[in-house]
Amino acid sequence: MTHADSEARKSTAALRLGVIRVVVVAADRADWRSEDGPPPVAVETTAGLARLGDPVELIRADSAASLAACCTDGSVDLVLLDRLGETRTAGLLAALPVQAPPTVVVVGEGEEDEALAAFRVGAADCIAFGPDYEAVLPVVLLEQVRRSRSARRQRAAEDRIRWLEDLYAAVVTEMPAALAVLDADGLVVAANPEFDLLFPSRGEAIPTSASGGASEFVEARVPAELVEAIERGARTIDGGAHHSIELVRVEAGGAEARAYEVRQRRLGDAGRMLLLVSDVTESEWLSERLDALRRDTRDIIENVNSALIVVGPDGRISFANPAAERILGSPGIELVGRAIGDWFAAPASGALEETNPIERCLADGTRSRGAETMLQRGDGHWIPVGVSCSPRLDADGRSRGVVAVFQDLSEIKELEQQVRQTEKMASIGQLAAGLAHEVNNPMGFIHANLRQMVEYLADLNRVLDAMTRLVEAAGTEDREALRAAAADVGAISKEIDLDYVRTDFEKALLESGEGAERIRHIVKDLRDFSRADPPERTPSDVNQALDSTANIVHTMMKHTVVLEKHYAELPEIDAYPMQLKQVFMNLLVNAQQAIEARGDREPGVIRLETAHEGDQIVVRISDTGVGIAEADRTRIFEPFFTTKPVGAGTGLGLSTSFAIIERHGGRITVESEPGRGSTFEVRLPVSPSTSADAASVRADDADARTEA
Amino acid sequence: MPSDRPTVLLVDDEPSVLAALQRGLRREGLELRTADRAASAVACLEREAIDLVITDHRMPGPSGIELLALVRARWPATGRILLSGHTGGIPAEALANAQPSAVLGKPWDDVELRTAIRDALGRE
Repeated sequence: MTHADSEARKSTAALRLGVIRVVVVAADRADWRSEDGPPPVAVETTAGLARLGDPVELIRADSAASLAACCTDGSVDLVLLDRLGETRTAGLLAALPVQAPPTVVVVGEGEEDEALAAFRVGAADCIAFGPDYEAVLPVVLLEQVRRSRSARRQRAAEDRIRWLEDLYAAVVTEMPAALAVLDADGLVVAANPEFDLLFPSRGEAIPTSASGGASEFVEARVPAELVEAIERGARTIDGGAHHSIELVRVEAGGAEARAYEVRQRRLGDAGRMLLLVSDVTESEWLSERLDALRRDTRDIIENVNSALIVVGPDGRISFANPAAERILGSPGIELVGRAIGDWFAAPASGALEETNPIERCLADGTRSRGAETMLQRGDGHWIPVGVSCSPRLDADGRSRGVVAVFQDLSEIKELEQQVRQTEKMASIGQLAAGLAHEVNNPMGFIHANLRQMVEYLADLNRVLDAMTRLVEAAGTEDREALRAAAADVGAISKEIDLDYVRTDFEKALLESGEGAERIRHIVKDLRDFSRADPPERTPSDVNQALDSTANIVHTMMKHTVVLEKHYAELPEIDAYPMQLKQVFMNLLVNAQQAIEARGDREPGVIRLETAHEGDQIVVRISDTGVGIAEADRTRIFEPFFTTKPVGAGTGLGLSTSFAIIERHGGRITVESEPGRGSTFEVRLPVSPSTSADAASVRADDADARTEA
Repeated sequence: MPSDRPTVLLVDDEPSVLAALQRGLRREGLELRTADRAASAVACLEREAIDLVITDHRMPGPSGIELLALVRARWPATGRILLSGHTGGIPAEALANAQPSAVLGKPWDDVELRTAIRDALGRE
């Protein structure tokens, strides 16, 4: 390898151009000696190109059309026209597109005229096919490829600048903010249409310290607040700052105030400044709304009467509103961070169903709506609460804890108890007519008998007085007086009909005693019925509860109703017997009223039936009354729904009964055929589900304590 | 036994009430008859002349006020007194049909009862 060779390699290596694509149009020459037909280009050319060092891709073209097609996509570096003769060369050059790469023309040795002609029609360079052809070719090609590539790069850069200019113009024109460039004197050098809208006095000097104030600029309709802000910004920048931002409120008399953001930025060294004024009223309004919303939410959470707490996945309180603090809190003890389980009783069985609703929700995501449970208040009292809670989930569905709302139900429970009791008394009230009769009848004859017995006693006293006198006379041995006294006794006895009085006195006493006993019985039944249940469920005999209630009711209505009893043997169940009696009373009074409503004198029948079916006790009370209209049947268990005349019913009987049976974990249903009668069926579980009722049992317990 | 003593029919399903009434009226110079319901009262009315019917209201079968309405229709000369433990629920229409000369409540007052009887019988 010669020194020159290595230099050449070095230089070509430094000019790595990648693949060079050259389109060649070569003449078919007869002097080409080859058995395989003509090569794509002259063999000399190929050899010369090989000396470039870079890979060369030769593309063969043989017509003006195929040459033009090769030159349109911008990937070709060079066109080489190899000894085509003056005319053909000129034709091909003329047909090349404007963006075509440079063209190098090879002319035959000594054809200088042809070279000149080629230059005239646009050839970039010419090479004579002489002895040094193979040496010259790579140099010329290299030069032209570099030019071609550099021209291409420049065109691309120009395209990009044009694009950026377009983009800039579009952005500046379309941006919803007023934008302007000011020179050192505060004069607008460039501005977008928004600026022209906002500052109609364009052309006036924008206030800078150099221009000496805002007065001229303000002259037009530009709000003073805005001008002052721009002035302040300009001073800041004059003071050496690079940029300034200020939020300005413009009170537009009457109309809604608007808010502007004024941004100023130093632009270059010539004292120019970019001014950007955006109307941010909407986003200000939104952020104000957001603040207001946040405030409202906080107000609601803090002032609502329901307790609201947020519990983290670890079961510890992370937020408690004031109502929650009132219930759970105790002086000097921070709620946040404490375990929620502290306020609830530990489940007796450990079963999840018995866990308090909040911890259950934490454990398996179960939502609750108004679930009743007991909670130990901060002061140690147990109170009934209704808890609603939902899990808080993050975007991936993982638990972030629970948000729970609960309310103290003590008062509601107490009211419920009162309503139940009121309804109970009202149901007795409906028996008033029968009750009056049953009490007043015995009262009537007892009262009359008492008066009579007073008379009888007076009569008997007269006889006794006469007898006393007879005894005295007997002591005197005055036979005349004795006889007179005896006659007196006989006469008085006859006058008062002593035998009758003695017999009837006793009869009246016995009858009165029996009447008093009946009254005592009625009063006792009523008193028993009016009693409230003990707070705990007690083993209860449903047959007994039904029968004693039926007997009270029947006493009051024996002339209109025949009772048929079909009692099955029943197991005792844990229940509130007084409440069950209240249900039976309601159903019996309704049955009796349904029978009376028929308006005929035939006694109706109320059939009482009890049965033990599987794990349920069934009580059916059927009557032969007027029945319930189809339309009313769905409504009869609603509170305050009544078909009875004003004063005859509270409209609470069946709804209270429904609630009582539900509380026992049972169901109450009705079947009725208008004109034929109705059957109410009460089903009670033999072993009541503790979960349905556990809370209310303890609630009553709490009520009892409150009353105590 | 033809007698100038007026005959009074007492109607009540409660034997003790009948007994007490009889006791109270024992010396009033009245012939007393008793019946335990409307049906037997009508039978009695059909059997002999009755000057006055004093009846309870709530009884098995037809009520007292219905009995009095019947008495007024069939035996208009017979006096009519209603004696009931609960007179509140009696419809005005039924009262108009029966037109009792007195409506007394239980427990009754002896003096009031005797006065009502004398008025009904037109006696001094």
